Amino acid sequence: MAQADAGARCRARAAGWSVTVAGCLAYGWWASGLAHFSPAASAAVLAPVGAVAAALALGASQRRAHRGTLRRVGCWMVLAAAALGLEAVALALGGRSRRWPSLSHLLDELTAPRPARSVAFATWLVLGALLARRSLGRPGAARWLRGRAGAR
Amino acid sequence: MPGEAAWIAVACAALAWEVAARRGRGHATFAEALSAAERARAGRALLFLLWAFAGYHLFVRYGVAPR
Repeated sequence: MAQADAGARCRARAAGWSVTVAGCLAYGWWASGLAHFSPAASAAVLAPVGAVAAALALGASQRRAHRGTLRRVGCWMVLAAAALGLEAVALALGGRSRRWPSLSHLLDELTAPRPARSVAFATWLVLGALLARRSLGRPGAARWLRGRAGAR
Repeated sequence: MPGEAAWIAVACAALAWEVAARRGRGHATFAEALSAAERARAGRALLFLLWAFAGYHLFVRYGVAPR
């Protein structure tokens, strides 16, 4: 019985993620066709940013980091700082320099064709959905969602 | 070109670190590091800002027109 329940939950989760990924791909295809620097392109990016910000604000409870976490993730912080520093230097030199290209310039060349661009956009959306989903699983958001369901 | 070599060096360092962490040297893998960052409010805010900046920078301000 419990095994059947677990199987059903697993299938429901897989179906949910399939719908999310398909939706992200469709949204990415539409958004990647918008003219750059246009208000429509800004709105297409700012709408998911607002949705994820709302999800993060809802699930704003805080868990304490485990002891020793900083030491375990220290190297990743150094690597992230190195990448950010490199990107900042490249952007300060104009961003499109042949000698010091920014990461965004390299990615921009890779994603120039529309299919690649729409996949990149969909990947960005899925990362945002992961961030929002983890946050919505927190006690604060769960309480708020239960309250909304009870009000109906 | 020095810029591209620097990016390749960063990518290789990340890959080497991930392999070392998976072999159990007491360090966090990339997924564990993200999960740890996401646990604290400041880390979550930082991840969100990075994600939002990347989206705006790549898809609005910087990109070339699709072919």
